[in-house]
Amino acid sequence: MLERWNPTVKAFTVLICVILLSFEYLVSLNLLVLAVCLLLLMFCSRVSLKKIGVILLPACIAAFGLFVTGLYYARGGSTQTMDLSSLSAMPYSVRAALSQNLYTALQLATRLLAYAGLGILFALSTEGDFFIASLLHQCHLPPKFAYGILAAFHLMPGMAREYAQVRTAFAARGLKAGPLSMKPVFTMLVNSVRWSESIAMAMESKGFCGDAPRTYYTVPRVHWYDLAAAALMVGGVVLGMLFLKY
Amino acid sequence: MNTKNWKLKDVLLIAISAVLFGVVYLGCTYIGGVLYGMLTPFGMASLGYEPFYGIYFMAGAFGIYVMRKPGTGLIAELLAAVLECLYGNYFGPIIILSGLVQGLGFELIIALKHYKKFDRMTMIEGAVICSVLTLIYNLFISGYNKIAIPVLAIMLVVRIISAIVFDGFITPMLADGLVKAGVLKGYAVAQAQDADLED
Repeated sequence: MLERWNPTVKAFTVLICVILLSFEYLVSLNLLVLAVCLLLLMFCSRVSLKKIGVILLPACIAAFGLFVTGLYYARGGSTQTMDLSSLSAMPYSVRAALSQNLYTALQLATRLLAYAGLGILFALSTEGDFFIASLLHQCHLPPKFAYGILAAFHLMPGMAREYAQVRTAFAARGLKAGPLSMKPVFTMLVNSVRWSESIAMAMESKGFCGDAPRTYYTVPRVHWYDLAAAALMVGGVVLGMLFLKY
Repeated sequence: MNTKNWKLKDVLLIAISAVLFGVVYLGCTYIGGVLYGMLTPFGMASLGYEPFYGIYFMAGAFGIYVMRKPGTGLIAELLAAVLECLYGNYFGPIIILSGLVQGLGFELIIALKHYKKFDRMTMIEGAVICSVLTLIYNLFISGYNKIAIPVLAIMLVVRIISAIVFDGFITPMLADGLVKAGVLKGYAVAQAQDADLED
């Protein structure tokens, strides 16, 4: 079901929710948004639980890092005064809980999780080709850009392989190339220019022309239910902002 | 913003180089991840990825430095963001919003110079503006507003240094190297250097 939600409408829904959430620091609303997104993914899409877990893990790590930052360095926080009041004998968790920073830390971390929930909702339920087709028709992205993006998108696995090969070639010649070295990047850039020329030539020789009118295999449309789903989600966030207190 | 004067191969070059810089960034996230883990107990976790922040701006910086047309920086960053979104980043379409902010940095300073000056100083200024704009974006969208100012200052300084290294120096050097290798014929950056030789 989520897969059939028009990608452009879905993307704008996510963006509007994010901008609305950025005006509030409501921990409960943030967690609610995350929960709703995950539940929607679990029950209204064909995404496997494992996939959700794999993509959620880095988001959780990032949220934890932000949580600790908030705990120590919240603006106007009370960490310094607490240290002075000789509470150092107390266990770390108690000290942290005593601190007013805990709430700020939660605000920061849950906000990131809410964003991640919304982002994952989009990322896992949207097929690349369908998203680009939708941008082409709903956002009037010029075909040159749409098909250019798709070409680069599908080139990615080949590029990762080539990048590994270039690094191996450097190693075989006894040249040191650390992860930050720009030598393999330069070689890859030369290849990129060549690829862009040959792909452009290949597309144009098959009759691709960016500006002439053309027909399409699939034309994504915006239906009433796309807009209804968007209104429901944005409405839910607005209601949460109005009625939730913490 | 005129997209009529973009050829298909221009779009492909920008998109493919954006994917390449994405691959480079992925390689660096391993170091970033280690730093992140080490800094977490000190509450400075976000600082772990900050030294590589400049790589985010490389697609835009490279695009505008090579093509030198109005809107290139912005379009290049947007292309990079859409691609990142397609690969399934956990921020999804939010990336497009940050791409917009990242693209604006170079676009602004180079527009002020009427798309004529592309020396080292201009690129460094662009890198600094990009860093400041993205931190302002973080203040509002990521809620960094709630973090103590000294910590934000450290983050900004590291981000600026990273941006200057990656976008002020490395990106123009890579592009100039490509010109010397003779692969960028027909792009504005090569024509500008030919003109320099004739003077």
